[in-house]
Amino acid sequence: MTLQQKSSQSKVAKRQIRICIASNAGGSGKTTAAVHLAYAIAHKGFKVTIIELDISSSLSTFTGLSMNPEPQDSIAAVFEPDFAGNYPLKPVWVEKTDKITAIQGGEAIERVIREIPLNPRGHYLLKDRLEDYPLAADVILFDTPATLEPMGVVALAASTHVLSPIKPENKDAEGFAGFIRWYFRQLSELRLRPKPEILGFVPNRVDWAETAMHRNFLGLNKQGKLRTDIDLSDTLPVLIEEMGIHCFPAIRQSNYYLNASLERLPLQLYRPGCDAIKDFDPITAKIVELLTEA
Amino acid sequence: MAAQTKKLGGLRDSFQGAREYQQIEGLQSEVEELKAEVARLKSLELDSLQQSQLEGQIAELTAQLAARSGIHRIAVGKIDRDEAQPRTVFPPAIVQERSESLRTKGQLTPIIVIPTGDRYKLFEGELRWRGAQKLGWEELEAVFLTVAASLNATEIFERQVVTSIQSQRLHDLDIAEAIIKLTVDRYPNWAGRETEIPKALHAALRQMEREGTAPDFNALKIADPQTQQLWLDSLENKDEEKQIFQTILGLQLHPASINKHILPLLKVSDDVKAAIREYGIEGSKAKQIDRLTPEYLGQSDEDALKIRAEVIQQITEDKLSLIETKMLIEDTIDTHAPTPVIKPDRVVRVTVKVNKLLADINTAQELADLERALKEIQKALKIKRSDLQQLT
Repeated sequence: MTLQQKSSQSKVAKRQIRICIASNAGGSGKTTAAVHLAYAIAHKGFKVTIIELDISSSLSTFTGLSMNPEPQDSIAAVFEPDFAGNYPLKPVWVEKTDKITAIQGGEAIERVIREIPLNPRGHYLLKDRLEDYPLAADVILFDTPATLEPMGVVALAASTHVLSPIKPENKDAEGFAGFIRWYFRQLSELRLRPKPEILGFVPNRVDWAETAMHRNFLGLNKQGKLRTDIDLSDTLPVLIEEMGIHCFPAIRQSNYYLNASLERLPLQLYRPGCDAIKDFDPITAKIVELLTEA
Repeated sequence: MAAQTKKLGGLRDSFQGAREYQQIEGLQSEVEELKAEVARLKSLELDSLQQSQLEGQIAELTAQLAARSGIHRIAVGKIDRDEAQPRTVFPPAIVQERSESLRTKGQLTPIIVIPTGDRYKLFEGELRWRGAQKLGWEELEAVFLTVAASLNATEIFERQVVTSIQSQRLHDLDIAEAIIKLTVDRYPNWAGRETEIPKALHAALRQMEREGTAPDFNALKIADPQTQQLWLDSLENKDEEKQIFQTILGLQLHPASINKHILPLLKVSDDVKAAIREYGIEGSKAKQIDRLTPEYLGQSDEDALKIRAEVIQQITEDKLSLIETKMLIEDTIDTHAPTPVIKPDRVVRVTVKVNKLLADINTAQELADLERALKEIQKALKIKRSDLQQLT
């Protein structure tokens, strides 16, 4: 892995992919997934924009962008009636890449959240904006809050795909069933066409070595391999695959993510060659396939 | 292992709920896609191949339901006709034909029913059900539309209208009544004002015509719901009219054609409506028969009713075409009606005035002004004509 990504070749995408990264549980690693996928996709030569729709401003933790920007410098500006395409894009990790930008959320979006129900296009506003003023990015990643209403709905309406990270624990797993119900209800109620597809579900922050509940929910052994000695039919991946929804391999819990965030860097830059980051490879490969397939 | 199953067993239950939502959404999109494809086919002149494609798609919906929960044999006696079913016209000849086909070919496709308690409400296949009763059959093959349980009565009714329109089995009168019922069900502000719905639609269309703001309804009626919504949103300050357009476009029907050909059927007299239900007389013929009013015939109400009954009988027995029907109606009027009163000829007076004006015109500008005035008059005439058609 080279640190000098600036020199890496640009690729031409056949279409723009907009991914709603969402789950209805806190701490499932949505922001972590967003920043690391952003870097991995950019590393393959594509332009990526992360759009933060969360009040918590957690994106700044990984990027070093200042917390809680003024409304005009945040995604709130895009919801203004007089918005004319001047997205408040901020380049991130500029010394290492010129392919990643972000639009921050933070406290500035509180007003947006209050006003969405009053707007006639309400949940379709962001979708409208991205259609009227296309962003020059091959991939847009929406980082959403754990409460799906209203920003999760806004992101879903604007997305082509959905990716749901989830911690394999009982509260979160029940929550995921709720998330799927939410997704199908939105499809019906918002009549989204074309439908945003579920790219897949990602077991995230998985500690198969130390946490029995993680192993049980995923049917894994202490080495992180699929168990063969038990019936797997009631494990999370099987239940999800039964619904025709793809289940990506698990992404392990690693303190390196935390350490990297203290340096305001993605793990790829903080600790090049670190094994843990390879867990994202299957998702990255899937997104690149979507970008380039005819 | 046992402990694990216990711990995770509840998870399967949680996902069962999610799966149901998936199925509901899936079915809705399938119905929607089917609807769109059928609408596309219907916008073309249907040849026999396309007609069979249309039927194929309805069969596909049945097959999808069968794949989900299997084909069941259910007792004919346990099937209840859905009283809210939009189709009310079942001419005996068609029931006879269907029962004959059941007898010789057997039941080719399952009917669609909604299980309710230990009985079944009929969703699709009333002709086959009636045919089976005629043959004294005890059982029919059926597929279950369980998803409908979560829909409310209005939604069930709307889906029946959609499937029935798709299979082109709804009489124009059924469609007219369905549009009124759906509008009132969805928008209670219309309750008790049903007769105003056709008038409001007519007025709205007239205004669009005058202002030149009418959209391309042919494209709009088959557009996706979002495109339709965009247009509906453009009708500012016209919430009630919007509701009517929404109902009609939601059924992928053409508002102007509904206004001109379908809704006027609501006004035909009760005996003509009864004839439609009994014999399946087409709307265009029914409107002709309805011209035979007591006033027009110069007869008492009772005599006019008798005359209409004779005419209806002749039309159905001799299977008269529309042109033959028109001729019969003209003959009937000629025979019964008193000599029409000749009104003072206003047309002649207008022509004289225009000729006078023409003689006075000296410049090209004046002539252009007159031409513009005549165009305005022509436009007004066109509107008047459609008004009259609406009334008759």
